[in-house]
Amino acid sequence: MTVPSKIAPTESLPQSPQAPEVRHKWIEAWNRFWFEPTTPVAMAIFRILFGIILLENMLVHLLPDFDLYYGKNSLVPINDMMSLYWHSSYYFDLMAALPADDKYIYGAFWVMVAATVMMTLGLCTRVSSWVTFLLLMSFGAHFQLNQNAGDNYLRLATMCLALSNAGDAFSLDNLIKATRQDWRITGFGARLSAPWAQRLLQIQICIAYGHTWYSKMEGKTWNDGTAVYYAVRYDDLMRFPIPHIFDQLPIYMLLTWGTLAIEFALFTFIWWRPARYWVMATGLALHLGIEYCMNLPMFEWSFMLTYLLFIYPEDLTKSWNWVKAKIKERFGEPYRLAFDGSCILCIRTIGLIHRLDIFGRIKPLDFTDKDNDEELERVKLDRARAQSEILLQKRDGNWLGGFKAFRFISLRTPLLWPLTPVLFVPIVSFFAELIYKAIAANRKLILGSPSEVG
Amino acid sequence: MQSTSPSKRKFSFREACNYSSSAGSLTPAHKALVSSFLLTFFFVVGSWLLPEWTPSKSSITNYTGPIMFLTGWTQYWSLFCPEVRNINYDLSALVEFSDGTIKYYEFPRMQKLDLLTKFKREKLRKLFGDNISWPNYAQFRPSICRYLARANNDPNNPPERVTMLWNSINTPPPDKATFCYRDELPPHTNKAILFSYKVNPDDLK
Repeated sequence: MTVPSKIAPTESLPQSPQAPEVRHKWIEAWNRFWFEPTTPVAMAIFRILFGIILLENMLVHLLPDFDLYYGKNSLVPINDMMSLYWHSSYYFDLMAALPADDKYIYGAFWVMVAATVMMTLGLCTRVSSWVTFLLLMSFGAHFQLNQNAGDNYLRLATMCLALSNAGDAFSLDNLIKATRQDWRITGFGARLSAPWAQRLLQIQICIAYGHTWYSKMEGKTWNDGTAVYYAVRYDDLMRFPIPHIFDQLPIYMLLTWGTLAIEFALFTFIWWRPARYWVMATGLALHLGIEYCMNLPMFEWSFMLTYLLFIYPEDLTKSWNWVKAKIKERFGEPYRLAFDGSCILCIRTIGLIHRLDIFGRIKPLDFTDKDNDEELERVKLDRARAQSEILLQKRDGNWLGGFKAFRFISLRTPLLWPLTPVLFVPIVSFFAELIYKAIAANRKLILGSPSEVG
Repeated sequence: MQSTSPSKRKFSFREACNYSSSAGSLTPAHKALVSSFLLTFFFVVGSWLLPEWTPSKSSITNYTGPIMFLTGWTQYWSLFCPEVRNINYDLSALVEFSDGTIKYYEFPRMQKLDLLTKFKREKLRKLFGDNISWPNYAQFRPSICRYLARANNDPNNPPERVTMLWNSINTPPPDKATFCYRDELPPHTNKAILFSYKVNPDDLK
């Protein structure tokens, strides 16, 4: 597309007539790459899985030796760290501003853990991911000697998460927002937004691959094909055994040069659409191979997770629809759920259920919508009963109403499983039934009709 | 998935399933701000990752390095490169007490840990194996020795000297004559003194 130039060429600097057009094309391509609105779903899935890796880092790798690294009597006290490592550089370390007492350091650690849990769940995502990033950076600076490339990557990826709209999908924030929204206006899809933070992380991983590839190309063992032979013989990093039949030089030569080829493809051909998924597959094979041979927790998984961000949104949708189709094949058609489309409370409730029903096991049907009349006639919906409570049809054709319908839904919606046992406690179900009936009877008084709210 | 409403009427459930609202395009000012941030990031990070032989690299990184450290944009991706290590090693220490007795201390050795412990304690490998063992981190060795002295302090028989030892063995090259299977590597039989520290009474407080 050609954008007309608004900048006249200067007389003193003769330019080709196409120069402004070319410049605009570059700007347009820049804007399209960084800012063209797209779905945040990939970033949201990354947020959840990456959050688990961060928690692993904190609770499995840092906590057992916490005092050794960060305690008042640590191996290298912060004053030594500042004079011996920081030198004249400035590092961001919130703990340096706290009194030198272990309870403050532990306090900061548990704040970081809590913020990471919140970020993973998508609760106050923006704030929690910033808190996670700043504290991750602080703990890294406070004791630099246990930091590896994996820690660098965790920090950079957390920064990108904090800058992104990863909380706009698969998050508690989104669920809470949905309870105030009318899906007939907003739709159910995650809000599209500028993906620049996701793109930054994509570029960041390419920088890492590009740099490591370039550095390897300078090495003698990478060129003569013996590098992997030596690398898998780091006896402090060994994980699982390699059978002698594979523990042979020709295989290591292939793996050495293969590594170079794969790493090259991972920052070049990954941007070429026809090759992208093949490149990602070879990257996965490379990282899983390293994961098998070497004990490098977090590093391989955080890199592999980043590949999620390279999956095209339409392919993510296709993959998820495939999963839903498989579940439908195994467990049968979704359950019909009849609701009153003239009641805003019902609409919001249905919106919430639909968002939690990630496997598509519930099929909401608005009985006030004429398009659904034929189907509802066929399944013999009792419209008078449907006016007073939400109705769900079981496999035997019978309809469950009100609280019992919700309890049935909770059993078939994995995200509600933590709540399900509570719903079966007799006293809870007794009171929940009463509360449901009271709300249902007054539902139009609580939020009004859809024409009043929305 | 559509990003624009097909009409002004409200969606049915089926339509809503296929519709996403949009936050809209960023304003030009917002785009300019983000673009400036991105360009700064790439300049800072790019200058740091330039090959060492690049002319006047250090004159650029003198300015960009501090920004990188402060913002957490630090980049080190030279894993297993340019050369792969051809040596296996571990660290140990001798703690000498005032009565002349010597205690042998072995720093955490991944080779001796089970899979789960090795997984949990990977950061100890980074600390003692990848860092303290090498000259780039030699400045921390007195701190480590002081820690060991404090940890082994007996007021009636205080430690007087801590000596760090480097135990190593070269990985046999993959020639026909020397090739060695991964599970038959030789033990770390070469011994060398890495660092020796005279403990001061103040170190034990």
